[in-house]
Order: sequence, then C-alpha cells, then structure tokens
Amino acid sequence: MMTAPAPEMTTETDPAMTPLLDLSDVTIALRQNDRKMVTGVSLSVMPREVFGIVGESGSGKTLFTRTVFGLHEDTYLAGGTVRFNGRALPLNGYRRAIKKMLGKEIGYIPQDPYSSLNPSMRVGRQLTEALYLSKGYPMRSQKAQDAAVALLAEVGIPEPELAFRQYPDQFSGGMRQRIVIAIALSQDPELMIADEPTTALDAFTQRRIMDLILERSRTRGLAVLLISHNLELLRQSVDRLGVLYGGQLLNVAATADIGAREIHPYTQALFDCVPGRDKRLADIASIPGEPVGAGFGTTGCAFAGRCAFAQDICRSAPLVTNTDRGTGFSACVLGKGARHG
Amino acid sequence: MTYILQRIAFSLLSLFVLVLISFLLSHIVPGDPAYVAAGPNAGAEKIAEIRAEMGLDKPVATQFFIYLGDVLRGDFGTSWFTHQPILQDIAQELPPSLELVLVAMVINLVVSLPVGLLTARFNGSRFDDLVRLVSIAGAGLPIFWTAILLQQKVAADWKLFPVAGRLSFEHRRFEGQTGFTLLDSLMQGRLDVFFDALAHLMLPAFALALLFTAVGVRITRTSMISEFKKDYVTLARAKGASEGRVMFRHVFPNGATPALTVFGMQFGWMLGTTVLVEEIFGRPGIGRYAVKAVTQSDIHGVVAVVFVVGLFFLVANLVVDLLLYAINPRKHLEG
Ligand SMILES: Nc1ncnc2c1ncn2[C@@H]1O[C@H](COP(=O)(O)OP(=O)(O)OP(=O)(O)O)[C@@H](O)[C@H]1O
Ligand code: SF4
Ligand SMILES: [Mg+2]
Repeated sequence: MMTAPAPEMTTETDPAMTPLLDLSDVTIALRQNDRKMVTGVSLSVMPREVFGIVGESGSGKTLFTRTVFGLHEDTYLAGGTVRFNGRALPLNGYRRAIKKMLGKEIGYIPQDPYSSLNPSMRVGRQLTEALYLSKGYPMRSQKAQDAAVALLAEVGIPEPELAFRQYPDQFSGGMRQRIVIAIALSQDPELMIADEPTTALDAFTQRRIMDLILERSRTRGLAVLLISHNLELLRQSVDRLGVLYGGQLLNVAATADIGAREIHPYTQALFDCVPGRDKRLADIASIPGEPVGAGFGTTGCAFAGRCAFAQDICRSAPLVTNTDRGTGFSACVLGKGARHG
Repeated sequence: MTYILQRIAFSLLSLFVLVLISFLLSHIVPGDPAYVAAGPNAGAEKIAEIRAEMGLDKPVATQFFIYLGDVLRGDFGTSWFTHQPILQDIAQELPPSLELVLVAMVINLVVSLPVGLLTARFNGSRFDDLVRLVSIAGAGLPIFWTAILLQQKVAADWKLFPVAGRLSFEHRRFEGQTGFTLLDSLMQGRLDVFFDALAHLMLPAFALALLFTAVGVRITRTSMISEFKKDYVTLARAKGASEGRVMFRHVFPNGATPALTVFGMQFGWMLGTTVLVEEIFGRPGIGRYAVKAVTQSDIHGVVAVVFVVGLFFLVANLVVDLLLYAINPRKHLEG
C-alpha cells in the first residue's frame, strides 16, 4: 500500500522501524462488572514521535491511558497486546509488568497541576525522590540536589535554588506544570505521556507549556503521547493523531492530512466545528446529537448515531482495524477517509 | 507567624467565653448562692451578711470581673466536702484522669491512624467491610456498658487484668512528685509499680478509647480516601514509587492533618467522659470528683471541673494546630 506521509513524518518516523509503543486490539474493562469501556484500540508510537489522542470529554482518554500505563485502579486490560520496544507485555499480571517501567522508560504528566504535586512536600524533595527512584541517587545527596536544580532551570523556573526549597502552593499553575515536567524529565523516559497537560491553564500559558513539552522532548529525543480534547491544540503540536470516540479509536491520521484530504467523518466533523474556521456545514458550531461515552455498549460504529453518512451496516459490521505501522487508518465501515494510494 | 498569633488570640477569646460560662453556671444557675452557703437554718440577716461577704450585692459585671480575677489566680473557692481549696483538689485529681486519657489516646492513635490508612487504601475490600462493621458496633456501645462488660469478663472472670483501682494493695503507699503514677514509678526506678499501674489502666483506657477509636478510624479513613484520589498519588506512582512509599510518604502526611484536628478535640471530650469509667473502675480522678461535687451540691467544685476540662480542650486544640503549623506552615496560608 502506498502512503503519503506528512512532511514531519519522513524525518521523524519510518514505518520499517520498531515502534516504541505498539498496541494492538487493546480492550479495557471495568473490574467491577467487566463492562468493556475501550474496545479494539490499535496504534503505535514511533521513537521520537509526538503522537496525539483527541476525544471529547467522556470518550475514555484518561481511562485508556491510565489503564495502559498501569495507573488505573478500577480497570484491567481485557484483551489485545501491548508491546514496548518490541517486547510484548503479558496480559496476566499486566499491571505489575507495566508498573516496573514507570519512572524508568515511561514518564507521566497528569492533567491538573494544582493537585498533581504533593502539597506537603518541598518541590526539591519531589524531584530528588524521582531521581532516587529512577537512578538511585540518594535523596539527600549533593548529586541529587544539583541535578534537581538543573532540571528546574531547564524547564524555565526562575531562581531554581529557591524553588527547590519551596512548597508547591507557592507557584502558579503554569510554574507547577513546569515542575511536573521537570519531574518527568528527571527520569529520562523514552516515552512521556501527558494527559491534558494544559487544560487547567489559561490560553497564553497553555501554549508556553505545550512548547516546553515539545521542545524538551525533541532535544532529549523522547516520544510523546499527548492527550487532549482540543483538536486545534493537537494539530499544532503533533505528528500524528488518534481519534477516540465512545471508547473506539476511529481514526489515526497524519496531522497534515486533516483538512487537506478526505478523513474519517468524525474527525472531519471535529475539525469543522473548530470555531473561527469557515465551515462547510454552515452554522453548525457542534456536531449534532449527544456524544457517546466510553462503554456505551453497542456493536458497530460508535459514531453511527450522529454521522451524516450512516447506514444500517454501520451499526452491525465490525470496524476496520488498524494494521499498518506509523501511518494512518480509518475505522469507517464504508471506507470513508481510508487511504487508497 | 500571623497565623500563630491569630490562633493564640482565638484561644484566649475562647478562654474568656469559658470563664463567662462558668461564671454564669456558678452565679446564676444555683439561684441564691448566699442562701445555699448560709445553710438551712440561717436567718435573713445572716444571709445578707454572707451575700455582702461573697460580693453578691455588687452589680453582675463587677462580680464577673472579680470572678475572672479569682479564676486567673486559680482561686475556685473552697470545697464544701473536702474543706480544701478546690484548686488543690483538682491538682490532686487531675493526674490520674490525664493518665487515663493519655493511655486511651495512645490506643486511639495507634489503632486509628494505621487502620484508617489501610481501609482507605483497600477501600471496598472485605477488610474494609469488617472494620466498618466493628467500628459501627464500637461507636454504638455505651461506654458504661463496655466498661462493665470488660470488668466482669476480662478482669473478674478471666483474671487478665485487675478489677478496679489505680494500684494494687501492696503498692497503696506509693507516692511520687508529679502524681502521674506511670511517670513517678519510672523516675524512681520502680518497674513493679509501673507495670502494676499500667495493668490497672488497661481496661479503663480501653473502655474509654473504644468509642473514640471507632470514630477516629472512620475520620482517618475518610480523610485518607480523599487523598488517595488526588493526582499527586498518581504522579507518585508514575514516578515508580512503591505502594508503601505512596501510602506512608505521600498520602499519610496529608491525610493525617485533618484527622489530627479531630484527635485534638477528642482529647477534651475524653477528659469529659472519664467520669463513667472512673466510677465503674473505682479510680480517682476529676470525673469522680465531679460526681461527688454534684451529689454534695458543691456548685463551685462542679464549675471548676467544667472549667478545667474546657481549658484542656482549648489547650489540646491549640497544641494540635500549632503542631500542624510547624509540620507544614504553607498549608495555612490558603485558609
Ligand atoms: N473508575 C471508573 N469506574 C466507572 N466508570 C468510569 C471510571 N473512570 C471513568 N469512567 C467512565 O469512563 C468514561 C470515560 O472517562 P474518562 O475520564 O476516561 O474520559 P476522558 O475522555 O478523559 O474525559 P475528560 O476530557 O473529561 O477528561 C466516563 O463515562 C466515565 O464516567
Ligand atoms: S462507519 Fe458509518 S457511521 Fe461510522 S463513521 Fe463510517 S459512515 Fe459514519
Ligand atoms: Mg480525562
């Protein structure tokens, strides 16, 4: 199959490479009642790639990422395969296996900087703890302290020596998110996951934090998995983009393709309702109909209830599954947005 | 620093209110104190004389300030049944009660904090259900009932602990400087007395602690659960911290803060509750003293006990708040 990779991708990724993170047919269920919340997700993140996941509120972004990275208490991986650097993790005891990689190969940035730092622990200690856990630096050692101060400087904290001794509530939201980023960077991960890292911040700070994440990860050569409900923000930031809806991954597209060629109907609809863009669907500021949340529990395409192209077959036929690596795909049963050479 | 000053000012204000309440109790409630003080056979002249002597003919406000001065000097008057200054009675009766409360408080903390933390961590597990059941039962049992049951079963039937009293017969002449038998016996190197006193304390302290511990476990659990839900716990796990590190280094210090405030209040409540336990286990203490004062209609004795318990309540809360401030000064800036 011929593909037309986006300009960034030709330099950043190569389909023949081993993906850093490779999910195939991943299904996630609730521990409590085995309800399937996320079904059949296949995607891969290449080394050094910035991969976005976009989805409306309730689509399962947090549930999905926290489960895949062993940080969700109430869910489990009910099916599929997760590979990291080519090595498959066992489905039984998955959480234990992935947890061993946390703070080493994998770093995580939670959504809300106001609650993601321990309020009663000094900033410096939260950093030296991270250094201790990933590199074994003794927490009170000069080496750990110097490294922590250097990291605070690296993420743009003014007066890093002072910040080292301060408590989190002495910082603004943007500064706190910088500290959280410093913590994630301190552990030298290969993959950094950021779940809505800027949603709690004002628009100006959002851009600066996003730039910091992108710039630091590029310099350090990390791959980033960036999660957001904001398509515009992701379009400006990522190489490729996965679209999550009702717990299904409907589309993976190169950012450059969005708005430039036919893409999955849901992604197109999301793109069309970005405010300030001339809309092909006149006067529609949002997609009609109620969004379907993760775990909605029907077969077929989750978007069928709102899709302008929907036919009966959409509600019964299995979705198209993603088989290619490092390119893109559309799950549309009718083949809309599929790449045909 | 402003926080400390504010906190102390608040305590002083509360103290003033406490004095006001005890003034009202001792001067307004008993009807005519001069009449009571004069005894049943006194004539009107005698009563008027006593009234003047007690300052009762002065305006209420003046009386209050005289009373305030007396209380600040520690002058609560003279007891009608011990014929000693009430302050001296209290000084004698307080140590055994404080000893009881402190041991009960240790039991409370040693059980509540770890059990609260673990039930929060394993929220919804069988262990959590079991603890919930036990604490609801514990909170529902009346203290006097627990005390009698323990005395009958554990002490009288099983003979595991002494039935009553503060010390065994052979140690009855033991004397110490502080009045705290546990402390005095250690200072004198009398381990036999120490363990004897401790054995006498166990059942009363347990009976007193049960209700408070049941509440303490629930409060700690609630507070810890809300901490476990916060993102800093997720971040700590994402950093690769073990569950033990997450629980003890991250969740516990934050979750213990609101719980400690409740424990501070419990200290005062416990002191006010010793009466039941002291009666049943025949221990000296301010609880028993209060009962005697009530039965002897010694209003000043009763008021003094109320005042002292209130004072300890204030002090315990102040100490806890200052302690929390010392642990983490920043937290208090937000409000
Ligand atoms: N522990 C849980 N138990 C049961 N249902 C859950 C649990 N966590 C999440 N859900 C449900 O899963 C769905 C997806 O939630 P999730 O938090 O992943 O959404 P999201 O895409 O991250 O949304 P947002 O943009 O609001 O963060 C929601 O309907 C939510 O109610
Ligand atoms: S499968 Fe059907 S309903 Fe779903 S996006 Fe395609 S056309 Fe629309
Ligand atoms: Mg979310």
